Amino acid sequence: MAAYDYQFLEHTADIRLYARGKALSDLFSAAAFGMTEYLFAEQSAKLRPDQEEEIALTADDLESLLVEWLSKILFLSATNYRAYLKYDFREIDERHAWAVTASSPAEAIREIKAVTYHGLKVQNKNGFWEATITFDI
Amino acid sequence: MAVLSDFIQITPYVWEIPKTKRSDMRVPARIHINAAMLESILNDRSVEQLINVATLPGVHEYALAMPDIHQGYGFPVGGVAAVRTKDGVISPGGIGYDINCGVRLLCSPFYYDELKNHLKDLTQQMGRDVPSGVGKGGQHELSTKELDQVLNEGMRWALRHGLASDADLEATEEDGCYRQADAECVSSEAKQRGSDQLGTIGAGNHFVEIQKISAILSPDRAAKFGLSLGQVCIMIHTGSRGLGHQVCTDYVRLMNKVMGSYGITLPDRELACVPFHSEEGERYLRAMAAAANFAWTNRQLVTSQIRESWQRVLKTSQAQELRLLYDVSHNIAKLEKYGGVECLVHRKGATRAFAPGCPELKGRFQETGQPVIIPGSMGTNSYVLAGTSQAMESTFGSCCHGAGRAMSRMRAKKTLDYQTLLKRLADRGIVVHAGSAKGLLEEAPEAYKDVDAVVEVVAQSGVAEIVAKLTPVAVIKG
Repeated sequence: MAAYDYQFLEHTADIRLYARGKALSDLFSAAAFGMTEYLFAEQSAKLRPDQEEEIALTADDLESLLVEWLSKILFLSATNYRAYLKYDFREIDERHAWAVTASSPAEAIREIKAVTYHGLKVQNKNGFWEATITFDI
Repeated sequence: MAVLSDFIQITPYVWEIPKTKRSDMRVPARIHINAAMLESILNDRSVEQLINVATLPGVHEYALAMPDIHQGYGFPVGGVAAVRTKDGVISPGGIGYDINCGVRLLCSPFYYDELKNHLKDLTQQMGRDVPSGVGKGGQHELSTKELDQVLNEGMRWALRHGLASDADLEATEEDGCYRQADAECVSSEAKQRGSDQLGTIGAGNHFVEIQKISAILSPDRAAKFGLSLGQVCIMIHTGSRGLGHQVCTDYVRLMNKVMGSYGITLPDRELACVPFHSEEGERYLRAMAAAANFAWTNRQLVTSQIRESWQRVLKTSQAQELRLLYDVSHNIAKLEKYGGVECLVHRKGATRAFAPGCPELKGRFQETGQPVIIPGSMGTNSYVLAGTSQAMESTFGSCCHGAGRAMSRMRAKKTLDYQTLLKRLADRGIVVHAGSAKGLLEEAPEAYKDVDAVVEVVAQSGVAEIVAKLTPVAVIKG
């Protein structure tokens, strides 16, 4: 199987995304790609990234780091009108992440207001890192 | 998950989970709801979320929810928590990411029969003039200095620029200006996210609708509100856009970092909070107030644009007389006193519903009580209610905010069909201007609770009086 995958789950009012990956960087990539696919829908498969950007983050724990990471990508997507599709992690541990992202100009077709901490737990199960993220839409 | 036997029925419309249910509850959790609707919310996590609210330090008397309660994140949507300022907390998650999301109703001087031949033109013109949809920028790209003025002044900024009248300010909570606002407490990221979004609707459940008054249920109050049968009105539902979303994101992050140092532990990190009297608490109050000012100004600029659109189509000066009945906020926290105790009342998907005589109400509303505007889901009825003294006694002056979702967006798209939905709306004479087929489908009436039943509960439990029912005739969505 691929190094990562993701899946949207039912939620009455908002959306929930289950993401998992072999390495921590795979989990972070899966979650970011899932969120980007929600925002830009079908177009995300056709877009070709033409610009790179570095993202460096620190947080107090793994859950906060994941929220920070997704919030940063959401902020960049909303203000630059770009889809962030590729993520090359140079470093990642429980409190730090440093990645180079590649993006392409695109107009989102759906809106995410924010990434929430609701019920969030990042854990390693059977050799996979996994998390379920609730987004406010 | 909660079960029916966890509840004690206090009145036919008030159900309570005693604080003995879970050891971390500080007060009971109470829902204004009927038996059938209560059963329907037991299948998701809304009740558990309300119990979590009952654990907040300083929460006063009970954690409360309205009949439109549904599962959110942190607080349930439809939740109200009055938290004592003396020994309590302030929680961004208790207000939500769309700070001061709210609804306003504009009353036209026309009756439906006079306008029905212009409906299509009016809808198209409004669709062109009022930007809606994801990330769509408006016509008001502001400099940093101007944006700071909007954040600090709210609708007074619009008044200074000829985009609002004194009457508009008087018909808005806080006169459209939350005085504690301080643009300095809002991050540059939040300002960047909001800089081109003033005067825009956004996506999701936000909309502009043309409606006609299809029933008057309290003739006396309706007359005082200036509402009559067959009259055409416009409802606007939007909030603080990306600016508010980022303010909440920033402060949830901050509070997660520092709440441990205040000795606060919570069952859900999305409830992150700090003492009301703390540096971080004070800064968040000021930032939240600034985002609220942004939202009021946003709804005002949409109003000003709609007044122009109507003037353009109808070519009569009467068209400019789209009088603001009232503007209500349904995601906000306000300082209010109950039984002499000062509380910060967090309303997340709940509307303030103040009774006649409340000093916060201006002019004729002193006598009538506050107009409470309840949007239905797309294609269903909306309502104008009035606040009552019962609300002041039992719900911290609060009422429901809408229908409340019953079906997930995923399921709505799977089980419903776009063409059928369009046809059904057209069969009922509703003109639709939609930016996205998916968006329209996700907001289909079937995905929501029955708004008539929700309003019936608040009326029966006495927290609001039904004044008028409105039926949609045109919908504009992103």
